[in-house]
Amino acid sequence: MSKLKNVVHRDEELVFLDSFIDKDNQPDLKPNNVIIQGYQSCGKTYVVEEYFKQQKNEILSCIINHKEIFSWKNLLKEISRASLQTLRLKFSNYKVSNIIDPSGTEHFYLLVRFFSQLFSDCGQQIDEAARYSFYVVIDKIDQLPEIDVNTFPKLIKLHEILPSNLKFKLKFIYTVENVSFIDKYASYDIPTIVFPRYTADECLQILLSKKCLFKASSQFNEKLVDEIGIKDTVPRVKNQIVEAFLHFVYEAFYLYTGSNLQDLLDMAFLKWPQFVQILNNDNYANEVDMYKQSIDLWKNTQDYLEENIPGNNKLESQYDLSDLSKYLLVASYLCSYLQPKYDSKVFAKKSALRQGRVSYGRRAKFDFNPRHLSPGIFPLERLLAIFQAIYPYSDRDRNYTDEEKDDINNKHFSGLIPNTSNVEVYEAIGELISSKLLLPSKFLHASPLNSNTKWKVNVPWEIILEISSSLHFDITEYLQ
Amino acid sequence: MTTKRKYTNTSTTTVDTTPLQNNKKPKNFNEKYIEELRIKLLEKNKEIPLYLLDSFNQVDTILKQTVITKENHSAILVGPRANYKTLSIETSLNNLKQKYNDQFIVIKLNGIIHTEESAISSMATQLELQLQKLRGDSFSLYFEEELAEREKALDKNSEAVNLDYKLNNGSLIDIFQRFLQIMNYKSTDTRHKREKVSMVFIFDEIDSFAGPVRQTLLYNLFDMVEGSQISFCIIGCTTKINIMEFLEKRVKSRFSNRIIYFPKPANYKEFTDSVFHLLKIKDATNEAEQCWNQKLFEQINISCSPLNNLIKKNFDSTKDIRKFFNLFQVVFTKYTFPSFQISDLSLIEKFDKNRLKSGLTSRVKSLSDLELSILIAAARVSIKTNDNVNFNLVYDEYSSLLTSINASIPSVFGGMDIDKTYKKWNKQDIKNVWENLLDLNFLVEKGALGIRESALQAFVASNYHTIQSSVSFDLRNLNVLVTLQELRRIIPSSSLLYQWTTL
Repeated sequence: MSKLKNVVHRDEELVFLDSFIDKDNQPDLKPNNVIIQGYQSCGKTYVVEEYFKQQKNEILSCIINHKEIFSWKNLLKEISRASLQTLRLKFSNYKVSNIIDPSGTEHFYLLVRFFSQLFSDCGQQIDEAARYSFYVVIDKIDQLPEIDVNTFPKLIKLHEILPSNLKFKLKFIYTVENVSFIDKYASYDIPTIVFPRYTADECLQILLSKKCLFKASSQFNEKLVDEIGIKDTVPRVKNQIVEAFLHFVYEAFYLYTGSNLQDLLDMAFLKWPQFVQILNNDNYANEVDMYKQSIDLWKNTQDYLEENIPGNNKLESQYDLSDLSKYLLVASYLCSYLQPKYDSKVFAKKSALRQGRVSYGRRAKFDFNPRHLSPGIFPLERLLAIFQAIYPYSDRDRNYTDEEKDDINNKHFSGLIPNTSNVEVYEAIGELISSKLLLPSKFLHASPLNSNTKWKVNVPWEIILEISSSLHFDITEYLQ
Repeated sequence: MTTKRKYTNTSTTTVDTTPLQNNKKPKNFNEKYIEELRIKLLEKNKEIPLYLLDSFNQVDTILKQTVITKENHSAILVGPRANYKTLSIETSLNNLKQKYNDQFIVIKLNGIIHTEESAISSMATQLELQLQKLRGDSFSLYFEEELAEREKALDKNSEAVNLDYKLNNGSLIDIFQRFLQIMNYKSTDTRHKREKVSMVFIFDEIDSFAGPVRQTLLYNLFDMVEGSQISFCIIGCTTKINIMEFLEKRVKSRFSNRIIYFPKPANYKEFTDSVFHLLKIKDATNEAEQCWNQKLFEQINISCSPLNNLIKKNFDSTKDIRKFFNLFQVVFTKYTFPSFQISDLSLIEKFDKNRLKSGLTSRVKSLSDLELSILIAAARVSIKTNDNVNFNLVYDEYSSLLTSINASIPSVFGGMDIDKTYKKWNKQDIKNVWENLLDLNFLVEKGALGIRESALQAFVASNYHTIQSSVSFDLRNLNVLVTLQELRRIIPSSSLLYQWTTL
């Protein structure tokens, strides 16, 4: 087998793949199912695509892209649709019989019927002795949603149930990411080719092989021609700059992305426009100067959502909560991370907030920062009590309607929440629950009215810190 | 433990073997011969191995008796997965097809593909297609009278609509009655005067049809066989050794109770014999084939030859001859075969080792230093907290490990103030690394079930959120699937991270 020109570092795997694929139109001699396993960004799909591309039209094949699949029924339809299309291209004078409708293949037995019909119809147009393999490549079968344990065996067994006298043999190639998926079906004896993760050196070489993508960027070329004054016809300089840039990317971010080549390439694309801006007449010929002047690019990844969203950068503002809800959230955080037995001391209104051991009694030092552990659960009453304790009174001077006054004068709440009605508090709690900032302990859709339901906060420390600082509330005072 | 065995190699008696034994280089044979040999070897994937010949013969006999002498039979083939059950049936039917092609119809069903309802529909479709082929007439011919009646009732009624409808309509008994009607059909028209055909039903994964709730399909099928005039053969395949316990009493009493076992090879000798016969070319006609047989014979008689090592390895681990043959397919290609020698199985061994490249060790070795340090931190946290790992704790551990190692590095070196400390990545960046480790299966969410058992469970899992999936990223509880001890064994002791692998 000749090497594929666009594929590097996959020679051995290609030899194995080649040995399981029927190129000579003798379908009985080659296996009906082949698995290609490899973790993310190992070039599985790419290699298979390139392989079939190289064979041109000699092997009949179609590829099912996993991104288009949302359930196994949809997978079956997609298989039949893609197969029909491939065969139509191959046999241009083939007329689809009325019975064949790819969108009707919602079950496996209908898929069997579909292929029996399709293959027998197409078979009438070819020589009596001719036999073909028809390959369906299913990409990332283990990652498809709604796949249950029996879906894969059904596909494996599909060829057995098709009539044996057909001139086409249905064969599958599956790409799989997760090893445990294959282990479940080990006894089916399906030939498996493993694509190992790329080593560091291989990553660099593959990255360098993509340099034409960067050389072609219009921003780069304009910069070179307009500002630096290099003619477009000097490929050596361009080459040098791009190679130096890719080396910087690799050196700075290989640790971060690991062997995930797609991530590394994404980083390169992210940094490239900024790097081009730094280029000038003085530094373009010297790698060290280029590096020194672009040092900020290599110090951090800039790979965060907040940095790449225009406008608001504060995490806290993304939640857009009202002050009341924020106080409730802070109160629920305190509920989850403070022990109830110290509540009376910590939140006592009679005395000022006491600090240090006096507030919580003698205890051993924690092995771990409790804020790093999962939140504790608490009843809703405790949340309300702590909320009342921390909610500032001074901010609440406003005029109330008669209804609100009635509500405030309600005997349960009179004197407890002097300036706001309980309706608003409940609304705010409802908001926190529906935005999943407050979670029930057991069932996801538990009712807040059920007194047995316990709750826990679902906000990490960094975010609660930002939220409390926006309220000018020092939460660290309570959590020492 | 292995002793040198002697095989009687009949096919090589006419060849002068002395030069072959001495000559280590592959002899240049005619390309055509080599290609023929390659194809013959590839065709061996359809050959029943020696140790299963008894079982195969039993299947062959009952099929022959059904097709040729028109007897009724039923049997269930029991054996491990991928152990030549279906192939035995296929081989036997293919042999029969050559001589008695127009005397039988095969209907294939698979318990995991078909439900009872869809099985009926599939039977009808298969029957229709095959009858059309066999008799060259339209399906509706068998229902001329009924069709005529229906046409009277409904003004326009197309045949196409009726085909499926007619067979599937009504209770199971009605449907099977129609099957019989079709099979027994004798037209007054001389064109259709033909022999009776036999029916072969093949049920793969028959245990799925023998479920806990009323096994109506099997019952009706077996019942039909009992009283029918035409000959039936019902063959089931299963991996369940206790299949008889699955069958209802009424089904069992109608079933012949014939179980044909497809065992694994009983002993090493049987396995080696099967391998030898699998790779040997029967009736070698040209010198390339004879040479192949000769070399195979030599290699199998040397106890420590690469071939024997491969056989031993397979026998000790899986006893799986199909897996063994899969390995050999790598060399039976146009590209590799001409230079292949049975005494040098390096390519096959490479392929055998290829599957290990996604193993734990290879995965750990493929990690970058940052990923590895996070993994070590996770493994440390796992020990410290009794397997209660989350991202926050791991990042904390990573920071403290890095701080302690940086503290030990002098900041002044040779009179110069140089920062030689290791970079501490921030928490946001480490989140990406953490996700990579999750993708690589080093970490699994607590309570994650993996692939679901049924379609409904799979639907629920991918469409409804659980509390676990709503918990924020930093605090999600995870299990680390690699221990610190294992990491210590994999990481070279020269590595900087090696010192972190002890608490």
